Amino acid sequence: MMDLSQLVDTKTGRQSKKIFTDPDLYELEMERIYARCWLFLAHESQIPEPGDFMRTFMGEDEVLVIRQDDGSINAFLNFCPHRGNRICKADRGHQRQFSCAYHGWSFATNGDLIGVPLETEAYYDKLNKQDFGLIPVTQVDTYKGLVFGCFDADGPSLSDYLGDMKWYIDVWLDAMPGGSELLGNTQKVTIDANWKLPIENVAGDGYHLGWAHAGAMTVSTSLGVSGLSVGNTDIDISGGLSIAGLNGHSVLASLDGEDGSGYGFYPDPQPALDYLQQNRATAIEKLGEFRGKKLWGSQINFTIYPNLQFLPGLNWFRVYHPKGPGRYEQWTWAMAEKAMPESLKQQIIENQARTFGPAGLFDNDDGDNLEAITELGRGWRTRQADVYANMALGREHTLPGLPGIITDGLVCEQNQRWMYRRWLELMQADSWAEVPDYQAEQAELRQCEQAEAGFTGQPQPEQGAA
Amino acid sequence: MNKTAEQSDHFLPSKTQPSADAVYLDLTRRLHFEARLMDQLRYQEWLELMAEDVIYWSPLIARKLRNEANAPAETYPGFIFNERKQHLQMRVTRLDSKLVWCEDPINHARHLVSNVEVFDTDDSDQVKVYSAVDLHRSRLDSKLKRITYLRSDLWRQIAGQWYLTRRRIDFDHNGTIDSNLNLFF
Repeated sequence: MMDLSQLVDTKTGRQSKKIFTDPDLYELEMERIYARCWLFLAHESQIPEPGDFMRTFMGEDEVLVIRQDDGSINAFLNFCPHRGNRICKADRGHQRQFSCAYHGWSFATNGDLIGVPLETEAYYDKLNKQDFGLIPVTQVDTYKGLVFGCFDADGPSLSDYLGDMKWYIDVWLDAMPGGSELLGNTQKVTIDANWKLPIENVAGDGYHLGWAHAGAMTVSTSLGVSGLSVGNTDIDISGGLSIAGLNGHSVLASLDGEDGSGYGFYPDPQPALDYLQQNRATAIEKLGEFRGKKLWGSQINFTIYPNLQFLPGLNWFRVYHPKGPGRYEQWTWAMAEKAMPESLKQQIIENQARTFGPAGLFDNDDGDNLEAITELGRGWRTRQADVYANMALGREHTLPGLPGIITDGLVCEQNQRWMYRRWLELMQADSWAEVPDYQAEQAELRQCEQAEAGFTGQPQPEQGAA
Repeated sequence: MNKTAEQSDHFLPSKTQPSADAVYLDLTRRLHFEARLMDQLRYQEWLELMAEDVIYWSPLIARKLRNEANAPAETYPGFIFNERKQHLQMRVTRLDSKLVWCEDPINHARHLVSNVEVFDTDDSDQVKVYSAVDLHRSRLDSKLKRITYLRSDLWRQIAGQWYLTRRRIDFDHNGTIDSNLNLFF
């Protein structure tokens, strides 16, 4: 195994190209990232009734997520413990039991083995059925509608895993009564690229927007979005924040929620703007001034490490399933707040498809770039080289009242650096006990800043980015 | 009635009477001409074949077990396309903007249109047309993709010329197998 510490350098923003192509590193990622972190399974709104299920992936492990009779949610590996065949081939649906296609063993929605053909005649009633149920995912838990699973019994609780990120994602999950929901069937797209590339693209890369998506921005921009411009001829850095230092998670947010900038790529943003105006007071009451005014309604890219991203404003919600080092499947849904009127939900599902669906005006600009980065790494000499995300190095700071470590601007590569730092930490750790928590580091940075600013010790009023 | 149900209706032919041979030939020529416009990237001319009220639609379908075939339709099945003429115009403007870097150099595409069936409808100016398409895309070096799909169309005759008024596209793929769909179907 190569020396992992040489692959990523957070101080300079350097990554070895090997991390996007190497099969051994990929196997280690499956073990140390995907079999260790909490992974998104489904949204509660997708499986409302007992027996409702979705088939999905945790890394390359196929799982069934099933609503139980008592209303809870459980998840199981999608294979028959008899000879290992796939139990369910449907994307989603509603079933009372699942039968294996090979020998007909059948399983209840709670995973129990309930039917074995020829149990008496051929097994002589000697099969202990309770020993051959579906294998459950080690930990399953829910945060405000989002269902996650984790294969590591020693991992932190879901609440601790999300940590300070909860304060930010509540802007979407908990601003309005009823919370959020996902709309429509799964939009599946297969891309021949490494799974980390689309995630860094959305986690922190506001830089590419005005250039890579110039054609799409030309035809679909109806409102200004934080000073971004077609062709990247100009930028207003003060319009947004890159926020990381959240144990791998990150936020990229414009701060013009009151202008509804999140809906700036809707040909007709008016219905969304009306909704925001009508409900602004509720959001402020729930979230406070900063989140209720500046974030609710703005464009926000949330990244839950390692492979979940959702974007209020553009209103898409996406999980990436790795399929080997050079391929991933992205699964996307439109997302809405339950309190939104039906007509707005209809507009959202159409606009999401038009911008970031399989034929999305914007999404169709990204795939070829990510494929090329991956494909070129097959070249022996090429993959001895490094690549850099070094924009705005050394400009990290904190802001009173805001968790995390911050660099100003949507056009900034801070979040990518923190993402690859987390990648390295997880890859190097033998267990969760060795994975650092960033709270201490954040506190230290705050202390330094306060000392420099002649901190008085008086509590400061919550304030947004200046 | 929500839009989805309204759009689904046109999928079922109101009559199953095949159109007269002359109409069949007319529509077959129209489909071949349309395919050539698309393959030659003459998108603005292609757009002129669309009626003003065209709905260009591709629903998103989940793979479900057969015992759920009669389950009630979803409120929001979702789409790959759900476009009116102004949205198609947006797509054409983007593709013609010279700012879509992955289409520069031009990528080759060939729409092979087959299995054409033309049926009369209750409206004497409108025919229902099914066609299957084998779409071949050639990209960088030897990269190529093959996408196949069924089209269920309504074409309307206005002043002796046929215009597309509804198109439903059903892809024969459970997920999108290409890194972009920067073309029309």
